Amino acid sequence: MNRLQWTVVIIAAALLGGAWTWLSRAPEGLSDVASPVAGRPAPDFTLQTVDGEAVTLSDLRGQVVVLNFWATWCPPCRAEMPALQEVYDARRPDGLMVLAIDQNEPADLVASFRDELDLTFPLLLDPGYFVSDRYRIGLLPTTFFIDRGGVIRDVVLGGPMHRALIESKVAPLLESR
Amino acid sequence: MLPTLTIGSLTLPVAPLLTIASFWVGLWVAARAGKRLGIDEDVIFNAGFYGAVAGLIGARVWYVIEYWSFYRDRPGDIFALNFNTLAPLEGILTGLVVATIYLQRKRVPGASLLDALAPGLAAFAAGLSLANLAAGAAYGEPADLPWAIELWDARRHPTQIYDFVLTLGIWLVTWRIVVGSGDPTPTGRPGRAFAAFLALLSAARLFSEGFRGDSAALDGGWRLMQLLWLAVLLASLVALAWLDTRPRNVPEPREAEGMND
Repeated sequence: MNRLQWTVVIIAAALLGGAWTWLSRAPEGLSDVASPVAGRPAPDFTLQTVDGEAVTLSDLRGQVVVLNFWATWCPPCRAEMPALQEVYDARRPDGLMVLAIDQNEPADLVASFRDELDLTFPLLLDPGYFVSDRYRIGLLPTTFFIDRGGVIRDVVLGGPMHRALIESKVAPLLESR
Repeated sequence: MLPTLTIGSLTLPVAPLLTIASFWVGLWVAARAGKRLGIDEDVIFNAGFYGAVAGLIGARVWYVIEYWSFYRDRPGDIFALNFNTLAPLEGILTGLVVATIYLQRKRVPGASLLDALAPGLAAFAAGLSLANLAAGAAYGEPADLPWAIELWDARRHPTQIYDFVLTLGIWLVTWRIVVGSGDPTPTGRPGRAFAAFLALLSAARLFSEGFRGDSAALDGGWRLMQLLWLAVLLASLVALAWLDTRPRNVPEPREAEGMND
């Protein structure tokens, strides 16, 4: 092609590209759709703790939430619980909340595990995998790091997570107001 | 969507595995293309391998440096391998620097190398689209279409499949350019395949981004990535025009005659 033909191609690309960019502008509220991926609002839920207390995720706005999906039969889940407890103890005054959602196990089994490890953060029960399905959990443990505005900022698939990993994920979220 | 794959008692995250597999497929394609352009296949494989290893180490080191206050008291955690404790951008930069140093030491011509990388990068991009599909990432807007897919509680544009099909096409086109211009002599036009790759990829992404349901949007709904891809498209078309219209480096007849003497 000669220079004139290339000039026509470049101008046509600019016009067509610009027109498509204008036509396909994002509809309002596009980024408000809740979905369990980084950058999106965390899907809301209400679950009961092993003590029968109801916890609603959206009520925790203003706090940084570590949402951990686990089960007592899962060795890496059990292994990372002490690290979660240590970070929870250290950063609770800064506004950190840890919610550990047990998948479809009886309350007494989960309660005995909590007592065995002296866990003080809320252990929630998910009978029927209702919330696990909402978060598309295919691997245990899976952990979501949610900022003060309720937006998921990071997802860690698998484990066990060590303390430095958890701290490195929650520190930037706790620092932002 | 297939975030994990369970084989017996083993559960594997699919997206990271597809990403790694795509990297090696892309490297293999680039090595084959390099051979057509007169570049030793082993040099490209070695550059990819050294770059990958250096990138992994660099990503880990940068992450530890960034969060040193947490690792200082727990040095054992530094060696607790986890893909979530990597600094991806710093890792990619480290890998690129190491691969570039290796290729410079091997005296590989830059423009021909970029041409060899073009179909490889397209193959890598096609694999990444599948990884996004497996992870449910880079998803589309809700759509009531016969080919829409069910994802995140809605039927949506299968943007990952759009990207996969388009990048497969780019792979074929750039491969054809490499095969057609496999001429390492000074009369060739090195750099064309890479410029064409950039132009086609940016045009494809400009198109598919318009259907995305997870775009970062500016005021007025303008999608940030579309504006960036449009800029890349125009720049790469200017580069293609320059490569196509500049005078060829052909010896003058008198010089050629003299060379024959």
